[in-house]
Amino acid sequence: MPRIRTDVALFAGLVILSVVPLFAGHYLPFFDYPAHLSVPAALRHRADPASGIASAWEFDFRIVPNCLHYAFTYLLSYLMPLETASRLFVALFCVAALPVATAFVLRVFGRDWRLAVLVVPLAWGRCLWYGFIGFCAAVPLSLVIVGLLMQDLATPSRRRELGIGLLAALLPFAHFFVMVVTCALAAVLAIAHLRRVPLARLARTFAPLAAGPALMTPWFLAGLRAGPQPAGGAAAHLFASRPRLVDYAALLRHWFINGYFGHAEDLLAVSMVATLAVLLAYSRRQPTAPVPLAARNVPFALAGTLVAIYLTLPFEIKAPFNWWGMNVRVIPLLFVWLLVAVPPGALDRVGRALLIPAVVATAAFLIYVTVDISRTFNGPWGMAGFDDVLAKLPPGARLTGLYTDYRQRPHYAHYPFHYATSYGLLHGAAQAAPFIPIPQSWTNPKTVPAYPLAGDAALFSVSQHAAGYSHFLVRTCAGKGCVPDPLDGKPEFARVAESGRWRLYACAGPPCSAADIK
Amino acid sequence: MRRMSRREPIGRWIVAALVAGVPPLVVWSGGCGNCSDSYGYATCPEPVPVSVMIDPQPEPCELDGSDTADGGLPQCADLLRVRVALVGTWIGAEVNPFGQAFQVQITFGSDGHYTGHCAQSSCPTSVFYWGTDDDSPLKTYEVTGLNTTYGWAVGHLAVVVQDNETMSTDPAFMLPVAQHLQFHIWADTDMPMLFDLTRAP
Repeated sequence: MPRIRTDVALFAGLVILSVVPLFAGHYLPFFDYPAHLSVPAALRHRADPASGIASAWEFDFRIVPNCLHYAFTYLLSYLMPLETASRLFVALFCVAALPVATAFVLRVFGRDWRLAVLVVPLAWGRCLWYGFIGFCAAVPLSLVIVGLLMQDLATPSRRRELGIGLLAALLPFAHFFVMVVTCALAAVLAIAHLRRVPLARLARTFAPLAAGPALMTPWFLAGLRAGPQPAGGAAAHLFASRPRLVDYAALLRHWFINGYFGHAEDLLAVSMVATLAVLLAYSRRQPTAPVPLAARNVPFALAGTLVAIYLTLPFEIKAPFNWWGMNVRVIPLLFVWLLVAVPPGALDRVGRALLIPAVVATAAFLIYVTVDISRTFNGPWGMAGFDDVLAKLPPGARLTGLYTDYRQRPHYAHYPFHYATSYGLLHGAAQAAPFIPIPQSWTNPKTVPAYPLAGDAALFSVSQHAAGYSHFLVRTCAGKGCVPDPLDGKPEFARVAESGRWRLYACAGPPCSAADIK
Repeated sequence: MRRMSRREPIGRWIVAALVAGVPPLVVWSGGCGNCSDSYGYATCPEPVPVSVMIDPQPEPCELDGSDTADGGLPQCADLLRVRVALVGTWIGAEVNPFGQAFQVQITFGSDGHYTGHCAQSSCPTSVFYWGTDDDSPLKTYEVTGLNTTYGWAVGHLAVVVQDNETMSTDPAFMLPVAQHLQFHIWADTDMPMLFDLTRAP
């Protein structure tokens, strides 16, 4: 029986531990996640006349970015429940893939692959908690593409170049912005090899990378023309909307590892950054084959490029595209490429020992997240009873959510119930609010009737926010900072279900129209 | 090659020092605060004023609700119009977590100053809880940006805590504002206050 190396087993164990929280409960506390599920759900239910999806949603099947998660979930939903298919995507491509892809690039650049254990918690960074599923899946893809380019520069191979082309074509469908960043990194890689590699060979290696931009060109040009036109042009807008320099520093913590309200994760984040700093300076290695100069220095250039992108781009642009949280997306990639910049060669005993505190902190963090998702988010405080309430939702219902606990001390560093009503779409509802149309989506609701800001129950007005909805999902609240259930005791609304902290009301009369009453 | 090998460790030490300097830099920049807003998305840094970024709409639109769609989000949001629409006297309820809501009257001036007074026989606290309701030149406000996604305008409002001492708050004004104005302050604390007002005749 072959002996399994301890370091391989430990790495595999950490990677497995990193996906365990995803299966710790029925619901995941990621902000945008339920809204993303609404796309494959609408695609699945559009053929069901009872759902009313076909008439309430518009469908526009064209080549658009950021749709890989939707396509994967939709297709696999014929083999397994839609939520399971989506969870599988997150587990494989967003969480497990990141440390594995990092181990790959570490090897390609002649570094110790075991350093990849430092990246395991990065998969549970801010972007995952916000539910940026496509982006999270794109980061490992980007790493693999740059790693393959580096390999191909050393030993060209047609099969590898075909692989680069296929992955490059796939990348914008995971996330457009990561494709742009990857192209920038590839350009730096090419420049670093200009003197050492003949131009023809450079062209052969990098040409397949054009597949992604080529596929996206029609969408991008159409978007440039169709969106709001900023004063001074699109390029000027990038600079006009940049925050103050100090804000770039202030953003770092939140967009690194910050899923929970409070400072508990800061210990993990600081241990990761401190370990990285020490490893960058600590250069003793076990004797190994010499690493080419380019492989030694290119990771610094790539990290420097990412720093420049971070400091050049704004946090948000509103025109011609509406992109939020823009520059901060490079933070995970920056951490990985700084890690690849450590001195090459296999870590000695001291080097390996330096990883232990971060590994222990990572394991403790992942166990905490597992328990939290199981007991807190899916427990009495969170989603317990939600299934029972949704079971009472009739097909074709038009559902809006009202949340009474926005003013309580948050548990997470985001409000995880904002899009809870989107789960109604998986149960055959026709409409769910709050809902902000998803840019670059194949499908969106044709209209979303008025709802209070973010479903805040304190702002709910019967005259303004009831029309157009047949059902109202209220998240109840007890203790300091709660606002009362705005529908409780009102004759216009009939309570049809209550379980855990969730109540479902059906519209019983005006201001709902007859069509709203189911 | 020898010169390169000498430079490399120095460069590596510099990068290591820069990386080690990140946590103190974040603390210094104020990035260690919990910047989740009450609706779930982080708001730091503050939204950039949209009026300086987007060309004026070719046709002005009225902020009276008639130009809204998709959940009441403004389709022709423009910071200047919000600022203009805010100016005036507003009367309505202040809802707070401490007890009964009470009636208040707030006037936003076009000069960036505001006043706030109790609008019933007596109020349990001052309008903004802290300090007094006496008029003061220190009572200022500004609208600095729009969040068109959520349909609100954000800004600053200086609450006079005691003599010559102010405390800045970051109110969020719901859009559109014409005859009806809602805004809240301290929404991310345990003492959120919501103002639900209508324009005084």
